[in-house]
Amino acid sequence: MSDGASAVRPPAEWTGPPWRLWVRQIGILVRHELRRSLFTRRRFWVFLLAFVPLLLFGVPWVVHSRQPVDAAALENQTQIFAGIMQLYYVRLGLFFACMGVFTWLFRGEMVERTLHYPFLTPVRREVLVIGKFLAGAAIVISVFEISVLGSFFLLYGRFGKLGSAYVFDGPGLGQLGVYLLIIALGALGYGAVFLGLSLVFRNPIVPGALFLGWETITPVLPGWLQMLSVTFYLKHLYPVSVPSNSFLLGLFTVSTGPISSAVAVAGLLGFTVAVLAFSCYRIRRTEITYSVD
Amino acid sequence: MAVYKRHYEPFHGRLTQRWSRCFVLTRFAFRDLFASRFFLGFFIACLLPVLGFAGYIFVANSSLVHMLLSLASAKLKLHVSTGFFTAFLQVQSSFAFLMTCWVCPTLVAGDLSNGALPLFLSRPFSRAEYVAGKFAVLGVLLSFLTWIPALALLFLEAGLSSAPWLGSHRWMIGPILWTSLVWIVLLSLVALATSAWVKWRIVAMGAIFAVFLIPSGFGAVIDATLQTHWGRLLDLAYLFHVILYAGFRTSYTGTEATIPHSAAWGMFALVSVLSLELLQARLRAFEVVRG
Repeated sequence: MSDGASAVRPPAEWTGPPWRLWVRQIGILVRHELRRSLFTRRRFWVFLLAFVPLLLFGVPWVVHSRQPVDAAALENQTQIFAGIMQLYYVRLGLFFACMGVFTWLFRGEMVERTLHYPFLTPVRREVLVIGKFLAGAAIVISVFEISVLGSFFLLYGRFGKLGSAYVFDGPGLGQLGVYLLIIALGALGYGAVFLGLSLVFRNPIVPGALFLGWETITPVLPGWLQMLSVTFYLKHLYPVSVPSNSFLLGLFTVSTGPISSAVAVAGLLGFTVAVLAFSCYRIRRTEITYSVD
Repeated sequence: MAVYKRHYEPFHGRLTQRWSRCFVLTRFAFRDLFASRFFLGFFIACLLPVLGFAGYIFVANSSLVHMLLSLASAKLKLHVSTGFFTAFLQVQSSFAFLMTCWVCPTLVAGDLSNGALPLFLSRPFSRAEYVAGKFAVLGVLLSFLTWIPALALLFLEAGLSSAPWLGSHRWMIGPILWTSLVWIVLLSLVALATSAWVKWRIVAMGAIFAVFLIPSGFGAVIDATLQTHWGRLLDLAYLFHVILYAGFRTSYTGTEATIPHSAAWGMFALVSVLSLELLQARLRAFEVVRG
């Protein structure tokens, strides 16, 4: 009798949480989303945002080709690259790219009146959120990291042997690794916030603009409030500090109470997971109302 | 399909004057905008700084405050001059930008995404009139945020000042008017062009926001990589500040190296013409559907 009962026992993945199934579904969702929206005309501006600095780093090869390439110039260029990373890539390019990509993951399907298709498939909504989030993150991270890599190469390539020595025998390669980590973490943090906003607000652009203001003013707020911003964690990872000679630059680059890099990384990942958990909770209550969009 | 009923008759009512037809769009747009309580609240919030600046004028002209300041032998001197009005217009131009981001996509993007443009343009109504009607909405709203309260503050100061003030400061009426109008025209044209090219309201709002902010970032990157200051030509808000300060006969001290105000004017003209071209290309009485 007991043998017969064990013979018809359902597979383990039917009784417990079907992790393997969820992982497979997430993989399919990521692939589908990447195929659907990576190389489309609509994503042209993401590439523009990411690759404009790359283009501009290429110009000095032509314009400043006869200028001396010495250690002082290399130091100066390292500072400039750090400034562009902090002010352009993280504060502007990555922010707006995430705003566009992540708010469009669900809100775009609402606007195009196609959200009911994924909702009608036998996929848990939480899996849908995570799959779309990972797809968005893959798009933004890959595009921006290629841009940072290219900019880094163009910047130090101009210095020839001096640049090569700085990158491979000096701190250059470590700095590049940290910059790539910052881009990835920034994309995850901003992406989670924008995904959450798109599930809460019908028009996520207004709260997105408020979020930009929030990210700007947090350096002057108390420490516990700063933890609710993405740039707070990223600031502690920058390998090169930028001299601030204006109020705005000082506001963007000021580093508050020091925390270790590991805590900053863990803090931002924790922040991302918390916001994603909220999005997963929120998607359970999401109703499709195409008529009001 | 054959049409058998031929009972159509021309409209016998009074026709709207040709010159004022565009304001029909303006009237309906205002009705829709002010139907939203959120918008009304936002509009009132945009006017709150005016109260702050008016309060400053009252304080600056209060004999009690002057007496207290002289008793405390404080070096602080409260006076209303060019700095006051440039600060006011700087603050209000930011609110005007936010207002444009909010209002403009509701004006144009809806018409385009719902295919309403052929319906408008099939009537005795030109594209220029369509743009003028939409432009008037922004023009009126932004005027109430910029030059109208600025002039009200100027006359408030003139009324409260014990010394003859208006005579020596009358010249500021001109800069208040034309700098505000320049900003209104630029904001409106860029926002209308962006809304016309982006189909959805949400995207249009984000796009207008980005069109003003992202080029300033590009400009900063250009300045850093090429070691120049001409990248600031892409920062429209900065260019407005240059024009504003030049209008009020002071120099802009935001950065060490400034853009000449003739270059700022040139850039404004270029952006405006480009916006008009984009509008011209997009606003058509037909739509090409691909696929």
